[in-house]
Parts: sequence; structure tokens; C-alpha cells
Amino acid sequence: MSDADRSAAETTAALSPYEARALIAIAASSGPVTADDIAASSELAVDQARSSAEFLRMKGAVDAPEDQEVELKSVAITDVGAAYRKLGHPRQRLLDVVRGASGITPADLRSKVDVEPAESGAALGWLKQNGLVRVGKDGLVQATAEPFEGKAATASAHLATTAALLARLEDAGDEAQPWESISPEEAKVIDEETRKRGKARGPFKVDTTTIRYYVMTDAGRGLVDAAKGVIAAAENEIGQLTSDHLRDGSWKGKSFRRYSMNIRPPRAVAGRRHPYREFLDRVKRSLIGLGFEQMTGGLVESEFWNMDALFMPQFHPARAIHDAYYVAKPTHAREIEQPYLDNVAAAHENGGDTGSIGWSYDFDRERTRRLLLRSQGTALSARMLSKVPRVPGKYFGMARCFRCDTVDATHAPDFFQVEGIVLGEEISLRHLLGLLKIFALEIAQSEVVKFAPTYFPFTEPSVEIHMKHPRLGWVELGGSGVFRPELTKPLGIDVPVIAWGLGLDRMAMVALGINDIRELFSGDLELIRGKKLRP
Amino acid sequence: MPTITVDLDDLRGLIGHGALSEEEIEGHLALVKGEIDGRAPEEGEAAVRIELQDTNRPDLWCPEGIARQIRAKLTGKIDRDYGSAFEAAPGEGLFIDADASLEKLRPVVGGFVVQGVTIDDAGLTGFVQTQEKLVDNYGRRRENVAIGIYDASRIAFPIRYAGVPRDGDVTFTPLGFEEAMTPGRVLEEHPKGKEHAHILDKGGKKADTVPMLIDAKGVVLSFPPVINSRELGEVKPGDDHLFVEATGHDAYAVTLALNILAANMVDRGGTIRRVTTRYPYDTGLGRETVAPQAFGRGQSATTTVRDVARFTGLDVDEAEVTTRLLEYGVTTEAKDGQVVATIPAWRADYLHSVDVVEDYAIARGFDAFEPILPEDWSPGKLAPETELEDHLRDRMIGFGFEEIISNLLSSRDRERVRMGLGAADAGSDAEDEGAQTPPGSPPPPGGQLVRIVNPMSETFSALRDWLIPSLLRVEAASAKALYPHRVFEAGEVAVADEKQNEGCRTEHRLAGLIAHASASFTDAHGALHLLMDDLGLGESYELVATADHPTFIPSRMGLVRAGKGDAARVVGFIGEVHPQVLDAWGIRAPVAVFEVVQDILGPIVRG
Repeated sequence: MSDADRSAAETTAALSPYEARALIAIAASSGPVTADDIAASSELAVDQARSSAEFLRMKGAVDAPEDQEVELKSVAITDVGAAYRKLGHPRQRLLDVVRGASGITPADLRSKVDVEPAESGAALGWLKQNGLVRVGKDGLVQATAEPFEGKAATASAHLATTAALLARLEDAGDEAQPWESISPEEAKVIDEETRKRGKARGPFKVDTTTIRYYVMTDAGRGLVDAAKGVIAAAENEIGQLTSDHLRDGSWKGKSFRRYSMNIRPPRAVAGRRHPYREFLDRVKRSLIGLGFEQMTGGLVESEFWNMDALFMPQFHPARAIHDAYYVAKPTHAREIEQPYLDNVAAAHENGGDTGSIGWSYDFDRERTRRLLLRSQGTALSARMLSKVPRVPGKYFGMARCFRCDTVDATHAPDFFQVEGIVLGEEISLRHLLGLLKIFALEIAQSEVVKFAPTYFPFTEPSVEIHMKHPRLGWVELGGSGVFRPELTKPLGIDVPVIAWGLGLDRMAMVALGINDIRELFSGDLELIRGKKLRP
Repeated sequence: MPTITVDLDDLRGLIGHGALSEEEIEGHLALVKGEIDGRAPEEGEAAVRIELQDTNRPDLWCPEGIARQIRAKLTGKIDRDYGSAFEAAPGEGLFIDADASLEKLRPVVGGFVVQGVTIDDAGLTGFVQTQEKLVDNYGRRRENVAIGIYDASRIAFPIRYAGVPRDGDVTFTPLGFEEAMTPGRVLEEHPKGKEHAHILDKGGKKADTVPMLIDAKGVVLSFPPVINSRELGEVKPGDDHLFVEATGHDAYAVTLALNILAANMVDRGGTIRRVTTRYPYDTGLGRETVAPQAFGRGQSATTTVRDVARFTGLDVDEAEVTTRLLEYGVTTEAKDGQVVATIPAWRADYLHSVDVVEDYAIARGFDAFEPILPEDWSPGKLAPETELEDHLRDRMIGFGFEEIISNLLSSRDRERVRMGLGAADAGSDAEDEGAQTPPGSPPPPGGQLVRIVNPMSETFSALRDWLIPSLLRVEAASAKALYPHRVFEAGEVAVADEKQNEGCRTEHRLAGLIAHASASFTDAHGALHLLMDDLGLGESYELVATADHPTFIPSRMGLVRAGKGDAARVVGFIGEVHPQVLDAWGIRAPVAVFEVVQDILGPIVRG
């Protein structure tokens, strides 16, 4: 088979019965034909004929030269128009009521005509303006007596034209009337109504359609025989397979209509995880895979667990009111668990039995009870250490944290911190680096990392890790360190504890193609539906 | 963490050892936990901003300190003689005498004289920057440490650190002003006075007595911690004989600041003359103190070679440890595996032996530590509440719901007013005493929102205590999104609870919302039923009618009750949202919702 034959065969295979009928109708005509012509000489409805002809044109079987296209304007009646035909145009209805009464108040008039107030007002205004009714000194509306002159005569004719046009169009049914059949007076009525009510709510629908003239192409002529075959087969063909076919066996011996598969299905809404949570779920899964156990904790914390227990001195700059959100009521926790309060106070004041000299200041026990919104996930780690954790053990937390920042593209009102601890007799700085390296690999898929010394009040040594991100270049993945004995000993822990925290916001934003962190929490469903995390 | 501006050429000069390239300098910044944070073209071609992480190392917040740390690495030791600053006999006749009245006010003062450093414009700018970083970050905006610098040649020693009446006979002309004023007027009229008055006027109570430095001839040097005088407190380019003083509350902090400034002056070629302060009270460093001085506290610690090996994971010996520490400027006395490490007087950050280990590790360089993985085995495990939440999320998605996620910070307007619970004009911090609150569990609901006293905006001024408002937020923003809408959120809320130590409890909840042109109670009930059935509660849960609730259409709201016998609990609620609430959110589609408390559901499901 040659390429041309093969392509002809594929086209044939894809010819639908409708297309086959249209093709044969076009082939049988002596010259260019319209969709109406096709419908007339086939068993197709006009819209079927039109879409079939268009599909044939896309397949190259027929052509529709642009210079032969004709713009056709037509007018049809709408549902509103049909109602007018039945009940009368609002103006006519008002006029009829006025004529049937010997003087009527506007309010009574309105109550007798089932028309929207705004519309009846406008209709009454029009009738008055054109002198078909007038309002007497007694406030009653009266009909003007015939014969009419001037404006009243024109208006009366206008009403008659409207009624006649509505009748003519409704009698024509669904069939739109060509614009050529519309008289200048009728055109005036249509224009006015369309202007007044808008296209959607008016009594008339004016359409402009393009009439195309279809002619056969050579390829099309080569398909005529095949089209005949398609029609013959269609007689004996099943479109939608139904339960009935199966129940009574009527599908047997019949063929199945060939479907064109590349038409997009209607859009549907599907249940799905939020992309940001999906990202966090992945991190969670990675950490479980690395043998970490999850810790959880409350949103409201005391300064004790949020800061004091972390050996952050009470005079530390990060403890100023400008950095954390403080709770209005109650302002203080009832109590701080012992012996941790005494132990931590001693660690701050003089080191207690931690081997440290402490921060050397008067520790304020009242302040430890002050309540705030958790400002760092490390609070979870401190509480975990006080709960007799497993040794050796690994723990992680994903904690929503709150900091006093103006909300903008890089600061959300609250955000996730992912962090945790590793406890073990033999934990060393090299383990800490190893852990960070595996985070970079497992969580951020980066094999290239570098370490730098840094400072946290609660770790010594302290290390930050930078990794080479495939798209961002060098980025800081997180901070880490070995908890100071001033933190661990007061909580009853005697083994080294690695603490780590990962900054994931930026990576999540890159993964989701987001430049503004607030979008992570957007309320716009379409925006959320558009964000996709690649597997 | 402070960021300072450094002229790279100046830094190169201070480091010496050939002109280091910018890359080499950048590489050495790990020694000071520093990082170049971009250039500072407004300060000159070679100016860069350096961000310094260590809030406990104020000696590094200046080019001299950075250079000193890098030089130690390059030379393997402290390569300059700082003897005039920390070892020489105190300067003869150089005294400051403190009045007894200062003990309660601002008890500590100290100072030193430096010769041989000619101050030029750049030097003055540099000194001012160093001083500012010290007093702002380390001295907490002059509260704990304030610093002044003077032309020493015009000062007659001994200096008196006097307590003078706020508005008495003692007056002086502050820098920036033309006329002599009392300290009281300075506090009220001078910009620096207004800025720092609170340091002296504790708790809003005006101090009757204020500190003043006055020389032997009765001329005022300055009014610490506020402003210098024009008479003696103005330094001009070309001055090469300077007096530097610091005041504050803690003798160690004040002395450390002076130690740092003195070391910087030595690095710039100066010779220090130490000044003695005589107090009629004790300061923690005695009644007679000399500055600068190595004061001991926080300046040495003892570790062992074994501990260094254990903490770093490296096989090290005594020589290795002591050599590396010296490269970091730390001198040691080592014997039988015990290492007594002493840091220079411009540092005081040795709280514990682990601080010595970190210095060793930084001197060695983190690149030298081959990463290894912990060999201990531990099971990975989700918290039970996460297990349940993930299960419920999975089911909701299976039922065709789209997940959303919201901020936890909300407002009274969103959590109450728009939900029909509380008057709109009552203000954002209204307590809504007696008003109806979200339906919930266990009834009666906690009532108050957890509000914050220092919100940045009203929009984010309280924690949410139910999820429905978060879901309505999404519906309100999604009128143009393809319908039907079936959305859910699983997440935390904070419910006020007087019984809790922290005054509230954090609950994990799950809520679903259905909105479309004909959404109804039945839609929500259908989804809730699927969920309860999946949890094995399909037969036993019941919807309990309650009094009408303003959030919902009357009779179309119920509490969800589940569990057997005495263990039966209200686990949540369900309802068709009242059009008035929808109006308040600007929602134009009917909405039905349900919400359950995972933490109550969990034990029931697990039986």
C-alpha cells in the first residue's frame, strides 16, 4: 500500500456514517452546496449536515473556498417573544387595560397587569410620551381617543407592527427568518427591543451565520465508494452499546461505529490532596523511611517550653515581644512542670549541674508561664526530651509555627517547620553531617552539599547545610547542631542529642511554581486545581 | 544576628599576609560564622555586607575582630601583642570615681585611653559602626551597655561618674544643640533624649537622679547612656589621643565591650592606657576595677581529649587538639588528656566544655569531618493522630472531595461575626460573653477565641476554633470555579478550655463542604454517612437535633453522636448553612457542611 492509499484508508476508517452521507450528497450535486442543500438531499438534519461537512473539510475530503462564503443575517423569536405573542406586548397589555376602564390609578393599573414593576413603569412612560394615554388632574390614567395623529399614530402603528411580527415569527417556529424578509418598520421594532432589553432577554434573537459552499476535492472523490460502504455498514452498526443489546443478543452480527477518539471529554472535578499537603506528605514519608517517629504538640505554648527549656536566655533578642505572638487570655499557664522548671532555672542562672556556668542572670520564673503561639518547632523536641524518649531514638515534628511578621510574598501568617532530634550514646559531629547529607539526598534530591558553622543558642556545635538545587543553585536546606548539655540535662537526658530543622517553604514553592508564599494557602479552587506536584 | 559593612581593602590590610582575594576571604568567613550578604556600593567600591550569625561573639561584629580570627588561622596563633590593653599596669592617675547614688541607677562604668591611633574620617565611621553594633545588639539599645568616645587631651582626670539632679544646677550643651540644658530637658527635647529616656525612667517613673561623667575641672563629658556634651564629647578627624568609656548594669558586659574596643585599637596601631574605676559599692568585679581586663568568667573551660574525640567523631591526640585550638586563638594548658582552654579577653562565650569542642571543630574546618550515618536502628512511625488524619483524608478524597489548607490565624470577624455568632460592632477583641459559639464537642463549647495581644493585623488576630469558616473562605473565593464544589480540610484548631494548663486545647478536626446550585443537608449527610460507615460506625451513629443555631437553617442542623452506651460522645455536627451567613461571606450557592473532631472520633473507632 502506498502512503497515499494508507492515508486514504485511514480517513475512510474514520468516516462516520453522517460524514459518509454528507460526502455522497456533496458528490451528487452539480455545484457548490450549502449545509441546507446537503440536509435536503440526505437524511441529515441541518446541524448534522453542517458539522459533518466541517469534519470532512478538516479531513481534506471537501473544500469551502473563503471567497464564496456568505454572511446571512436572520431573526427568530425567543421564549420572551413567544410569551409576548400569547399575552401581548407589555405596552399593549397596559393600553388594553386603560382602554377597558374609564380612568384608573397607576397603582391599580400595575396590579392588573402581570408585568415587572420596572417594565410596567417604562411601558406606561412610553404610552404617555407617545400620547396614547394621558394622566388627568385627578391622577387617573385615561386612553386617548382615536383618531390618532402625529406621534400617537406612529406609536399605534409601531404596536401593530410589533404584534404582527411576533405572530409571524412564532408561526415560523424554530426557523429563523432571513433579514431580507424584514420590513424597515419591523427592523426598527427589532432594533429598539434588542437595545432596550439586551440580546439575552429580548423577544427577538438576531443571528448572523456564515454560509459556506462546499465542493469536492480529489481526495473526497476517491472516498465516495468507501463512503457508500460506510453507509451500508451503518445500517447494521451499533453506536452506544446498551444493556438491551446484551440482554436480547441483538448486538450479534452487527458492527460497531468507529469512534474518533481525540475529542476532549467534558471537564470533571476530582477529589485530590492539596498540593502543598502532598509535598509535606512526601517529606513525612521520607522521614518515616529514615526511621523517624513523629512528635506532635499544642499550638499555644508557655515561654518555658518555647524558649526557656531551649536555653534561650530571657534577655535574648528573639524573645522580644516583636517576634512572637502573645496570648491575650489567659496570659499565663497555670504551672510549669517540675523538676524541669527548677532544673532549667538553675541552668540559666549558674549552669546547675550541667557543667556550665549558665547565662549569669536572675531567671524570671513568672515569665516562664507566659503563653504565646508556638514560634518554633523545637518546642516539640524539648517536650519530647522530657517524656523519656527512646535511646537510641529519632523523632521528627511538622509544626505550624507563628512569628510576628507583616504578611507578604515571603511571610505567611503561619508556616510549617519540619524538625527533629536524634538521640544516641555515640552521636558525634560526623553523624550530624551524615544526617544532613541524607536529608539533602532523600528530601531534596541533592547530592552536592556544603556545611558551614553557624549559631543557635541551644546547639553547640551548630551547622547549617547548603545544597545544590537543580534549579535554584545553592540554597540553605536547614540548620542543625548538637543540643547543649544546658538543654538536655535539665530535661533528664544524658546522651548527646542532634537537633535539626529544615526550611521547606522555598522548595515547596518551587515545586509548585509559586512565587508568593500566600498562594500556598489560597482559597481559589481553580488556582489550587492548577497546581500540580510532579511524581 | 548583626550585619556589618566592611571595606574589603581595609579588611585585607588588617589581615596582612599578602592581599587575599575576595574568594579566599569568603572561604575564611566560616571561621567567624559569617557570610557575604552582597555588596554595599553606597559605602564604596570595595564595601561588602557581612552577616554574622553568632550573637554570643560581639568581638566579631567589626572588621578588626574578623581579621583577628582569620589571622590566628593563618599564623597558627595570636600574632599581636595586646599586653598594653590587658596586662600593663593601670595608667597612673587615670581614675573614674563613681558616686554612691549610681548603685541603683546605672552602677557600672569603665574606660581606657588610647594613643597612637589617628582618627581619620573612615576610621571614625568604622568606630561608630562597631560602637553601634555593640550597644544595639549586645547592649540592647544602650540599656545594658552604652559607649562614648572623647578627645582625651582635653580631659582632666580623675573623672567623676556622678549622680546629678534631673533638673538641677548641672547643665551642658548636648551634641547637635547650641544651648546648655539640664539632663531633664535633654530627655524631653533632644531626639536621643526622647529615644533613650525609658532606660532611666523605669516603668514610666521619672528618675530624680541621672548619671553624668564630669572631668576634674567640672566640665561635663557626657550624659550616659543618652548623649555626649559638645564641650568634651566631640571627636574630630585628626585626634590621636582618645578616651573611650562604657556604662551599664553588668560589670562583665561593660568590661567585655571595652576589651573588644581596646583590642580593635591595638589592631589599628594604638597603645592602650588602662583606667581604674573606684566604686563605693561592689560591682561583681570588685570595688576597684581596671579596664580593659581579662576577667575570667566565660573565658576558660576544661575539656578532655577523649571528649573532643567523642563529640567530633575523629581520632585525635593532645597535640592535635592544642594546635588547632591555638589556630583559633585559644591558648591551652594540657596534661594527661585534660585540656584547660582559655580564650582572649575580647571573648567571654565559654559557658561549657562543649564550646571548646566547637572552636576545635571550626578551626579544623567542617570539610575535615567525613559524614557518617548513625548506625542505631529505630522504627519510623507516624503519631496516632496523623495515622487517623491521613486515613480520613484518603477517604474524603475517595468520596470526591478536594483538599484545601488554610492559615490557622483568623479573626473574630471570620470565626464569629460572619457566622452569625456575635455582634459586628463589638470590636475585634470582644469577648462575646454569653453569645452562642460554634457547635462542637464536648458541649458546651469553650466559647472564647484564643486571641493574641500583639497582632500585625486584625485579619490574623486569633486562632481559629472550628473549620467551617476556613471552608467558607474557600467557597467565597471560588464562585468562578467549576461546580460542584466538594472541599474538605483536615487540620488543627485551638479551642479555649479553662481546664487546660495552657488555657486551650489543640484539636485535630476534619470538615467537609458541599456547594452547588441545589446543595442540601442530604448531600452533607451522604458524605458524612460514607465516612462513618467506613469507620465502622455506619449503624450506630445518630444525628441529634438541638436548639436552632444561628449559623444554620433552623431544624437543619444536628450534632453527630457516636459510640456505644456510656462511651457515646458528640463527635461533631452537620448542617445546612443559613443564607444570612452565606450573605455575610458573599456566597451565592447553597452550602451544606459537616465537621468532626478527630481526637474524639479516634478512641471510639479504635474501640
